[in-house]
Amino acid sequence: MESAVRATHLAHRFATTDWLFTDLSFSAAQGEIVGLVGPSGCGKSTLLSILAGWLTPTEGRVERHDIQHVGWVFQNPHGVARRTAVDHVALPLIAQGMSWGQAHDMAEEHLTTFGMDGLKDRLFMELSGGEAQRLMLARAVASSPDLLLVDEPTAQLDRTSADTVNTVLTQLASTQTIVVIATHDPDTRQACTRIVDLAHNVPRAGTDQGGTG
Amino acid sequence: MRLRTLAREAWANLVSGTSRVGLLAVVFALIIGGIAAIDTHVSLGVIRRADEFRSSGSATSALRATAGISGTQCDALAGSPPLHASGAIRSGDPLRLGAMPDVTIHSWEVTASFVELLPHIAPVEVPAESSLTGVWLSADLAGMLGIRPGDDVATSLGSAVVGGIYEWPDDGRARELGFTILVPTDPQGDFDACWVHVWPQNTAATSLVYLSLTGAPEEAELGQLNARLGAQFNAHAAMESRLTRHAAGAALVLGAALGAAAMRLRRLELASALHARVAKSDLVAGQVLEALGWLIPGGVIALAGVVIPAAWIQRTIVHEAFVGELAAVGASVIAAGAAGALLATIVSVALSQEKHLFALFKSR
Ligand SMILES: Nc1ncnc2c1ncn2[C@@H]1O[C@H](COP(=O)(O)OP(=O)(O)OP(=O)(O)O)[C@@H](O)[C@H]1O
Ligand SMILES: [Mg+2]
Repeated sequence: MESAVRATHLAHRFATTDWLFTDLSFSAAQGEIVGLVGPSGCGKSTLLSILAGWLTPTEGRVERHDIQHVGWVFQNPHGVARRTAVDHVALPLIAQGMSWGQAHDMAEEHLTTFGMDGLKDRLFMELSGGEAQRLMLARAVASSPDLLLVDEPTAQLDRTSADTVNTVLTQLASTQTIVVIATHDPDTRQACTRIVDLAHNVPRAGTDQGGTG
Repeated sequence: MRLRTLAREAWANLVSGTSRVGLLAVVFALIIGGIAAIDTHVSLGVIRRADEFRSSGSATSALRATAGISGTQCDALAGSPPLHASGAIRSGDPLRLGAMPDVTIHSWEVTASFVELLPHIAPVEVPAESSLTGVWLSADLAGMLGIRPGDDVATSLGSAVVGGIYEWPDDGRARELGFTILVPTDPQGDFDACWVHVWPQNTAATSLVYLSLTGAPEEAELGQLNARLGAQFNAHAAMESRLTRHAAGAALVLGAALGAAAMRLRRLELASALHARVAKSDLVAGQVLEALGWLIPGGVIALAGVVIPAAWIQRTIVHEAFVGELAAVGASVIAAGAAGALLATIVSVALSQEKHLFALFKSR
């Protein structure tokens, strides 16, 4: 069975806020990149945590079909200060059964993909904000998620790095992974197969259908 | 995850400073070692009191019955703990020493076993070539005459070798063995008293002394050699009720607090590892290895901080038999602290959840 995510009639408000969004429905299947767009504070990160299952929506529901592992990349990357970049990416590979050596070789490849080949032995605490975020993206990709949730991956990046990230995410979607990205970046938006605009609460394309992109 | 990979990952955390082994080892050694040292010190006090009680003759009883004691029966009582030593004694002929012809000295005839009882209740000095034959002098008398163990001493009853010198301090004990000379004698025959040294104190064992009685029980009188420190000293009860009796429990709790704090500081890291698909069981195993990385050095430092001073104190002050007991007191406190830390590590990691990462999302 194909993995898929379907959100139906989602609405959310916090105790201290007004409705962030109402009656939001969309779905996504393997191979899709869904872009969550809207101005700052409109609820993009909130929606990601609802999709991850960490937050219960005030109304509506999220169904996840055949999704074993959800990968997350936060707006503020969190890593282990004194471990190297390559160690961070190797951990999910080790967890999936690789030996230390295999995992490190493969982790280096992942870093290269994200344009970080020169940084493999840097400690996490020495990385810039953008480097750290790309690193955590590489780590999330290495964990082979069925659903990858990414919060503002290009916000802290220069044009070249942002392009690399967009390319990788596009490639990733062409494999098995469903990618959901919260973004302000027009180029990232371009890479998406589907856009969910929270400000208008109207998905731009393929509303409530799913699968076709 | 394979064990080798697991160990390698734990090692990388150790050497990178991620596990904070240095800091945690020092804190563990200070807190748990401190508790262990205090408890050891308090226990040492109990042991010293016990040692003083025993060596002052408070654990020695004398059954007195003039010419009513069988020497052989009395000697035969000794041997199996808690009845460590026994021996019979009776008044001997007054004698004069060649060096002090004007002074008449009281002498005592004792069985060979009686001489073996002396070291339990008095510091003794014997010649390098120890022999239990020969006469024994009290230290005050020997000191006055300048006599050393192994010397010959001339008496009005003939010349004799000094087989040993014993101290007989005025600490409340019966005075009869002060300023006197003990002459070992054939145990056959009747004696005036049978002494038994029983430790730990035990009424049933002490009452075995009545087996040496040949005369009428009504005329016999059983008494403590030294009553100044009281009739009883229960070292076991004193240990049970010592001020620091809950030290091991406290170490367990504080060790657990330290282990939990160490894991609390790495809460997000643990959540992040779970997010990277590390199995909970592997995470537990890895963190146990890392905890051992600071518990072992911390425990060794703490143990050294307890055992070395205890061993020194023992060598200089306390009876030899107690260094093991003291070390055991300290070691059990340290072991409790380590067990608490390991337990808290296991529980903390077992309770960690990927969801804790969400706290980061919320608190950004
Ligand atoms: N736990 C919370 N409790 C109360 N209000 C919250 C909570 N989390 C978020 N909010 C509020 O909800 C709104 C949406 O927050 P959210 O982080 O989803 O916005 P966003 O679209 O991701 O913004 P940005 O583009 O700046 O990252 C904001 O106004 C925020 O202050
Ligand atoms: Mg956001």
